Amino acid sequence: MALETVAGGRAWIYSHHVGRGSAAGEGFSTPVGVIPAKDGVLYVANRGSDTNPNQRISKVTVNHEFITEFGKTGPTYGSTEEPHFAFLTSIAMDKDENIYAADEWKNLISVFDSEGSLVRTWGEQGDGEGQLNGPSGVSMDADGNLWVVNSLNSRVQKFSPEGKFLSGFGEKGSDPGQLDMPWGMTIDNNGDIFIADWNNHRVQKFDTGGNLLATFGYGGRGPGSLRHPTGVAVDGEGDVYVVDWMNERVVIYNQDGNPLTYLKGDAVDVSPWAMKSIEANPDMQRRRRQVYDLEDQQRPFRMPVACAFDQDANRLIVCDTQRNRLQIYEKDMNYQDPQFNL
Amino acid sequence: MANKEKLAQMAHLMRRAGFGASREELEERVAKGYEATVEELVNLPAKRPEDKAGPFAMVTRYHPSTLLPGGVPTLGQASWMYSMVNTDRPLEEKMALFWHHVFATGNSKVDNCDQLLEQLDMFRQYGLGNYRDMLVQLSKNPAMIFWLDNNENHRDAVNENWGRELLELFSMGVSNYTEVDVREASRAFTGWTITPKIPRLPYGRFPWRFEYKEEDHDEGEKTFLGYTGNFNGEDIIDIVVKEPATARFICRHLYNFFVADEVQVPAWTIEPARDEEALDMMMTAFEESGYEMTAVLSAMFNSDFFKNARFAKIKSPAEVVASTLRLSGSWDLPKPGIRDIGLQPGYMGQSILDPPSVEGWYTGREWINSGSLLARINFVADHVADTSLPGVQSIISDMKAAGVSSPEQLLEASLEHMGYLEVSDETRQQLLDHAKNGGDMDWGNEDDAGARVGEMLALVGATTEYQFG
Repeated sequence: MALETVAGGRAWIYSHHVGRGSAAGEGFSTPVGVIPAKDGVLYVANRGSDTNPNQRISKVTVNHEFITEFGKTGPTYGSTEEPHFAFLTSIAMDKDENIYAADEWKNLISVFDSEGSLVRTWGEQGDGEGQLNGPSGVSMDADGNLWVVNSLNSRVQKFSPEGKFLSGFGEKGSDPGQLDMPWGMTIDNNGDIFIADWNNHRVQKFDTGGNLLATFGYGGRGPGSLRHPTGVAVDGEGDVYVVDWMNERVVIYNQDGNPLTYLKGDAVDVSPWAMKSIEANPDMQRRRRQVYDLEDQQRPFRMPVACAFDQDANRLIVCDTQRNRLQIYEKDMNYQDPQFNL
Repeated sequence: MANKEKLAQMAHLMRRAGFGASREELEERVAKGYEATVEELVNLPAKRPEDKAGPFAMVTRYHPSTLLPGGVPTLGQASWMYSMVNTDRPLEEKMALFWHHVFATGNSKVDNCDQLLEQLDMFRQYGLGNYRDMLVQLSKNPAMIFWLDNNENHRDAVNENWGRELLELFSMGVSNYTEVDVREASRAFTGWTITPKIPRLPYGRFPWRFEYKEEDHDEGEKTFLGYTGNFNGEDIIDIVVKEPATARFICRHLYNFFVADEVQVPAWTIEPARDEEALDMMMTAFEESGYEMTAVLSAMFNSDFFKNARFAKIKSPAEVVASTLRLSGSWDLPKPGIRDIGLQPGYMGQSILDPPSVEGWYTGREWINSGSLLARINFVADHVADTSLPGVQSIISDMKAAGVSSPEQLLEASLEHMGYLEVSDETRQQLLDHAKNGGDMDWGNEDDAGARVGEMLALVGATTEYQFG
């Protein structure tokens, strides 16, 4: 079933979703970050839970293949090994498909290769240049340098892949250009930086020198407004996708900051992984049949945290965090509305 | 600086109407005045301003799995404890705890902490409002419907569990109705049920929702407490709230929770109230206002019997944990290991969101046994003696700035920071003897001075008197 959201001559067509709740393997544990790689591969950052330490990065495909997972914790699986991640917040990827993962509690950047082997870690807690204080968002620029936004001191910093500090900007506050507990970030094709300014209910766009270029959204519940935005992505045409966490939607703006529309989630289907869970539990299946508005209930995002846009596939991927799934939309830039009075 | 008596009075109010307050907050509130503070606590703006993140946003950001913990109550318990510690609407949160005591609903049966957290939100929303409205909401609350089997209460097969507890534990108390009244009330609530929910696999819990099934409702005539008619559930509530027994029952609960320890609820039919005059005053405020909780709470907090009831009740485990974490500032920002703060009250005998039965917890001296007392003392000591915690550092700085020097001053300042605690002469002497072992404070050695402050705070926390709030 395809569901279409249309605005401004383009459409976002719900494709399908990937995932189910699972502490390992085919499924996710409160996913808070996603990065598309080539051939439909997705890397997914799982935040996990305090009672079941299943923080990890899953490597899957949009076609429901589970490839591997890494950065996992030890104790759940009978090991005394300390969990690698405490508060895994977001991930980025370089051109060699190395994955950079931020841990906002340990103030650590972990670099894994595409097979999941840990390559290196770096990071030092503090408020000085090059130090980390609650790193909550990461993004890779075209030159292969990693940008990191610190949630607790509102600093945005650029590092070499090895963790050498290169530049930075940002200060705490609510004035234009200031940040308050920022969370996710992304970098567009022009190299400009978008930050989800969580506690100021907006996304701010900066150049690499920290000059404010644009602001998207403001506090509220209406169209185009935001409540505690957590993630942001930009597509090849410059449309901006903001994960509007508390309003449980993804607000889409054009590059000038005008709101186009929003997505509320469209998961009316059941993913193949999810179907395995259902089919293995006949009572679950029978009970589902008794829910008269099952599709409507199952469909919406539940406090989503992150999104990413796969420009090669023209595909938006939304971390539907509380439902442990990725909702996937395809963008049609040349959308033609069907005849209205069919 | 406000005088000590006013600060002590304000500390008393904030312990009861919230989960304690720092010295700085007490001074700010004393500057506003006692009555103005009561007014501010009781008459909250209807909704939280959304400009900055409150406890819910903070705990959900750092621990997203606390939003829909499903069958894992520890995450729900942790989420609530974090809210108790960090709320900027202390009475709203305290009333949620109050109603959780009265309308005790437990995960042991509900096995769905999402719904218990939803019930808490309902307590926050309606807990300071009209008691009738609260009962209507409670009757429609999915966790309560499942807890007391009203989803099994059918037109042709009446289940009396909800109807009975509505009368026995949630409004009038025993001896004020007959078995026939229970039956008739239950008939009136037939058809008040919950929709089937999407099962937990594979996307986590989905909510139950209230549903009124007209076809399953008993439309026959009922006679309830002397009234006859084709009653539905709200009609029963309308009759119940007007019963004098209801005002007495709810106000006695309020007195026991906010003012001074009463005997346990089952003894209320045979034991007079601890202060009948106070109870009369509260009942009058309750009834004359049309059952408005704000009216009775304002009257109670501003009364002499409340002001004179300092340390007349033993703190519940939830109060011990929340007030200690608030004082020590150790959970301003969520961090790994949050499940522990949700579990701690359980170690002291109060597993929040999971009461032992629909009767809730026995309170007062029932909180104390050799195991729970040790758990309380150790928990408090672990925190107030930890000089790395911001709240403790603030106390140390405050003492240094105030020029605390002699052992007597160290003791006095420690008692003040622990809530203007009043101790017996014997306890005071024991604490003082210990303080004198270290001689005068040497602020030139800040680490040692800080450690002495932490140690004295921990000793104060270990006294019998500190178990009272």
